[in-house]
Amino acid sequence: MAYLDVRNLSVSFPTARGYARVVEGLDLTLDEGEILGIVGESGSGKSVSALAILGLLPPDSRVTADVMRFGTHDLLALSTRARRRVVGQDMSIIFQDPMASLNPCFTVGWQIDETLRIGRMRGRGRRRDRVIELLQQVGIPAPEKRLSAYPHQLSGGMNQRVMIAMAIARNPRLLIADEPTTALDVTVQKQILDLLSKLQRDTGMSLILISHDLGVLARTAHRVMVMYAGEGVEEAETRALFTSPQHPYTRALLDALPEHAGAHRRLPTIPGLVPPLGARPESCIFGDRCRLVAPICREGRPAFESHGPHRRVRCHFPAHRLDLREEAHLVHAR
Amino acid sequence: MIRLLARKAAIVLTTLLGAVLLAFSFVRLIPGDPIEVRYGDMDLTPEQLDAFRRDLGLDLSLPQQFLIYIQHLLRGDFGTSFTTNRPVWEEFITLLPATLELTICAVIFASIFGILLGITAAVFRNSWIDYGVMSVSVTGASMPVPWWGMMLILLVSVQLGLLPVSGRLSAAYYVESVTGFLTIDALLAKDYEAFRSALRHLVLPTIVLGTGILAVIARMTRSSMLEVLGEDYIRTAQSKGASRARILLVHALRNAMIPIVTIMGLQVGSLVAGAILTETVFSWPGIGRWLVGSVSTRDYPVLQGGVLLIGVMAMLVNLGVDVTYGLLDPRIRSRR
Repeated sequence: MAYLDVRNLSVSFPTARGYARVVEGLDLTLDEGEILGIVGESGSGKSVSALAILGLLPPDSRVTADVMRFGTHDLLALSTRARRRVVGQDMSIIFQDPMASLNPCFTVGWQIDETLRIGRMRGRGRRRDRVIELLQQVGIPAPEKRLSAYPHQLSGGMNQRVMIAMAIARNPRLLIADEPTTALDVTVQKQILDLLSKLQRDTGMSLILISHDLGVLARTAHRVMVMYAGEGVEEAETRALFTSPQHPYTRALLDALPEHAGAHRRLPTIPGLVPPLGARPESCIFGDRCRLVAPICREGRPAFESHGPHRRVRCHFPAHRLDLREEAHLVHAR
Repeated sequence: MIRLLARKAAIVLTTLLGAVLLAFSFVRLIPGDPIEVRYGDMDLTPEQLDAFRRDLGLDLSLPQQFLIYIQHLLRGDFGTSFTTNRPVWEEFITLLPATLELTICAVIFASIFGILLGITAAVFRNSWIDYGVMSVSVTGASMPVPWWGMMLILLVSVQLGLLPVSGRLSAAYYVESVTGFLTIDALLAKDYEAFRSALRHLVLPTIVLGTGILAVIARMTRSSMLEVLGEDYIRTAQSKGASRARILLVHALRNAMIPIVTIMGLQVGSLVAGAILTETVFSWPGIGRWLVGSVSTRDYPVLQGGVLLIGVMAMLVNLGVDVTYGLLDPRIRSRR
């Protein structure tokens, strides 16, 4: 059984005109020691899904799911208090902007130490040793000296390392990295990704890596989930996703990668816009921008169907069954 | 650094000079001079009155009087009260502890309850608790001190007989003055009855003087907390599994304190004004009542000196606020 098992997750937020669905019917599974990448453009619901799993969304949001299990914990059944204990102890998260994610009023040493204190680790000296060990583990030079530094005195990359140290302080079984490199310099990005992979290998924890950058996931993830407008549209093992994308959206994303476009050519883009919140169609959510769109696509939403092991696609015409589309047109023409 | 200090000092000195000039000219705009007020009903000849004026130096032209006053100030001489013939500085120092005791109590009262109310309103934002706290706060901020004081006296002291009407200490007690703070002096003398009496006398004036700033602090705390609670580091604290109380009181409040301290510093002016009125309503023997008295006797040196010394105190408080910023926010500390 999967270590993390989330089925039919939906999240909505209150707006001026009632609740708006931000994530709809998302299924996520994750095995122990696996790295799952989630990719999608801004507003596709990747971060919101992660926060929903951790229970960190604002209280006025609505989160529903058929199943939300993590290890032996049924996250849906836990009280707020018990949930808080699981979060922090067994699952933790690092965010996009390390500078804003650390409290400016306290030293980094204090903030890592706080995590240990919340985890009931006794003994000031023991905790101090552990903090220094953690800082070493995430590759911060001269850790003893950094203990008393404030976040504003460190670089973005250093702060992200501090965030990682804080996240792994209590040996979590699951770490969610929500766009961990987006706010950082390109040179630092690779270091942080390498660090995350290394920590994952050393500790055997599971890792969910959220990014809008397919390149980042190609290097790191074992399996990738592609999200579009709050839904999962394709899920596959990383190599398979890159070599034979099945969903037209995935295909278009890959075509838009600079390394695929060749030199001196305009990058291909996807025409149209993501449907805005509150105006999302009942039919296929990508239909308006899809070059394969057929009349059947306007009649209800395609299911997230299994096409072989670890491969699911939400499309009537996945790439390996393009013949289906010809038939559909013939049927329609008749 | 030195240039910064020099600039600050220049600003402080100019402001103080301006304050003196204003005080000096405004008291002389009030109709009737000290001599008329004092001897007006005593059937003295104009020559005799002029002789009194000459004694006090009031026969000189205004610019001359001002220059002489400044000269004396520069020597550290605040002049002598026309009415008591005691040095202004000495009277000020004797009365200061009473005012300080009252204002400190009012600030503590206003900070504790203002911050608590503000946090409560922020936590329950847009609920009836929030609306309740905020409407009480608007009412508090717009309550005129004399009216509020008299209403409390009427209700609590006169009708219910719970607390004394006025003064600092019941006449039954005598406390040796060491610090001038009656509560502390009573404790030092181990006279717990007197301590109780002094505390009971403090309650109503503290509430009256504190209400206005309490309201302002509550509003500022609310908006400042709401802003901070939306920050990313609050989410980080939640992801560590921190308790709600810990997030509010450690992570959020510390960051929210800077605007709160700023507004408290800015409120010092209104605190002085409030103290003058409060002391008058409660016959509190402090700087405020002293100044009000000196207006009716046209005691120029007392008024000028009092205004100047209050100005100095306000600046010291603002300096304290600047220092507090650094203590609260490490980013400000390292910028220095």
